[in-house]
Amino acid sequence: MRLEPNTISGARGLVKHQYQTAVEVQAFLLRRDPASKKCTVSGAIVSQDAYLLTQRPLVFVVPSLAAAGGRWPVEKLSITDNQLIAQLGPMLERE
Amino acid sequence: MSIRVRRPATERLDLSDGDHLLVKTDLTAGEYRELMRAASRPLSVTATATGASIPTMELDPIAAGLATVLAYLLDWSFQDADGRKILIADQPPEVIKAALAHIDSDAYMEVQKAIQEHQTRRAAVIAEEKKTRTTAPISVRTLVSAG
Repeated sequence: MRLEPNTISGARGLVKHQYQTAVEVQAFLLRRDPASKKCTVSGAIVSQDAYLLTQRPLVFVVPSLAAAGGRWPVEKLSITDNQLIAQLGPMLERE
Repeated sequence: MSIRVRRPATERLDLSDGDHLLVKTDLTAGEYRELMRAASRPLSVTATATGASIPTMELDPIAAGLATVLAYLLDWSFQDADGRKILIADQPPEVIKAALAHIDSDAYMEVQKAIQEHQTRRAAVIAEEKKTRTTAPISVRTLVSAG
């Protein structure tokens, strides 16, 4: 896990619908626009569930950052050549 | 037509000493299949009277308990010896399995018992839902007029 201002990279991230995993990515890179506080994440897909990808809402989760929140709402998502690119809203408040 | 997909829901199961588990309320078909696969072990091939061979499976009681726990468990309040929460939420199955292997055996048995009781309760609820969901047979006259 590497934490830099407005950038997070990590080994494992998940796109989830409730507790179910729609997509698991590895080697993800999350970039945050300081002005809008919105983020973009990209990563290589390890597994995906075609049904869960049709469900809403979806949330991007970084399990290793759970203590700090580590959850962002997915606003837009695309999958091309086994690569996930998603636009995320501001990080959700810790539950 | 009827709804055949449940919304993913969770339940909190209270344990002794103020601890708790967060579990899936119900399993999906895929999760149930995985539970059955993980709870079974292959037996040697059975020969039939005709000489044909049929590979068979049997329930492994040790594996079945762990498979049930892994199928339902999402999170818990357990802490390690230093008082840090043992992180299992959103972790891969092998991480959760390793955490379950390191807790006290009494704690594990309490987890397994709580989840098995939850599974039994949900089976009863679902059986009751099926009874109330059954609708009266639609008459031929109704079908014709609906068309």
